[in-house]
Amino acid sequence: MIQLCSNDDPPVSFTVPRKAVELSKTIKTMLEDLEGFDMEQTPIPLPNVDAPTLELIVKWVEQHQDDPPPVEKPRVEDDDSDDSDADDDQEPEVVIPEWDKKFLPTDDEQKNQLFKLLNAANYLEIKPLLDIGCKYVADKISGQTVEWVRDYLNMENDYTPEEEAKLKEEIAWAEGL
Amino acid sequence: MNVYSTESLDANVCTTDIGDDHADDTGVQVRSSSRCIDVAEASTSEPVDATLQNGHAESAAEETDCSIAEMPFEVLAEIFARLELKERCAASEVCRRWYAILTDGSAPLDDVVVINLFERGIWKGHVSDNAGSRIRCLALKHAEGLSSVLRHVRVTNSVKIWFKHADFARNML
Repeated sequence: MIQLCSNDDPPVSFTVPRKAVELSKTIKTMLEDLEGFDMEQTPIPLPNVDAPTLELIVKWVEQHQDDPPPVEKPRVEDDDSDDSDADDDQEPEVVIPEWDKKFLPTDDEQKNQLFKLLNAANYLEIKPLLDIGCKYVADKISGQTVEWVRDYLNMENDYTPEEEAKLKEEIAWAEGL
Repeated sequence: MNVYSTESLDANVCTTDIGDDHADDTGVQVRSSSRCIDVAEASTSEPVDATLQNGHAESAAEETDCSIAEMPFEVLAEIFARLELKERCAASEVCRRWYAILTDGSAPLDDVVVINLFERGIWKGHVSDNAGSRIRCLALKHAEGLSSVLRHVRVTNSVKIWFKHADFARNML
């Protein structure tokens, strides 16, 4: 078992099976680098992750610890020599599994939590979690107006009215797509 | 950019390579190695508590306001990678940072291979015959669209343009 500590004061610590925690590439690499130290006794501080977010991360990795590892695409070194393989290279469409759909903090008042989770998944390099989270956000903002997206994501419009008008003109053609 | 004419006018084929940069890869490597150092220091020399209290508590409090505006570039790039051109255009209107990320080639619109301009017949008669390849076809009714497409892709030679009117080719080139 491995202990993970949140960045709160005092830190909140979670005990997680090593197998689950290794879904995080960041932690996996770290554990490999620290081979020889007794990591069971050494809590790992995560300076970028608060307790509620870490709790979600722990829940997710425990749920998915027995998933088959994602198939790493063999990197074709000589891209030009074999173009016929190019099709197989495409990323498969991410489908959010049922459990994950319920797991993602998607209520409106939980938006900040969702973003913190994405940040943490990125920092900890948990690619499948980052994938489904990003897929969720991408689906959510697809087909929405710019104003809606800004509002949903609490973003400021930092364009001047002139710039905005110019940009609108620049992409006006896209309306017809 | 490869330009194809169906009228075999002056069959201009020009190839431009903007350069496929691997900045992302290096960025990731640097980042993960510095993470390892952090942790190694924390777990070997300093007591863990000291690291944890080292100012992180305050930043945690501020972070309760976490918004997507402070999202790291990698996360945004992952989100944008799942948007189609129309949605990317809309997203570039949201704020300056998004526009920059969407158009600087680091989160490119990949695998746009064929743009079918103006004439549906061209797609029917010529391009779809080459099916089997997963070609993303964009029908652009206006030439202005092309510059937007080019802003959203990483390398211009991933874009092929089919056209019928000589004037169009002259204007674009």
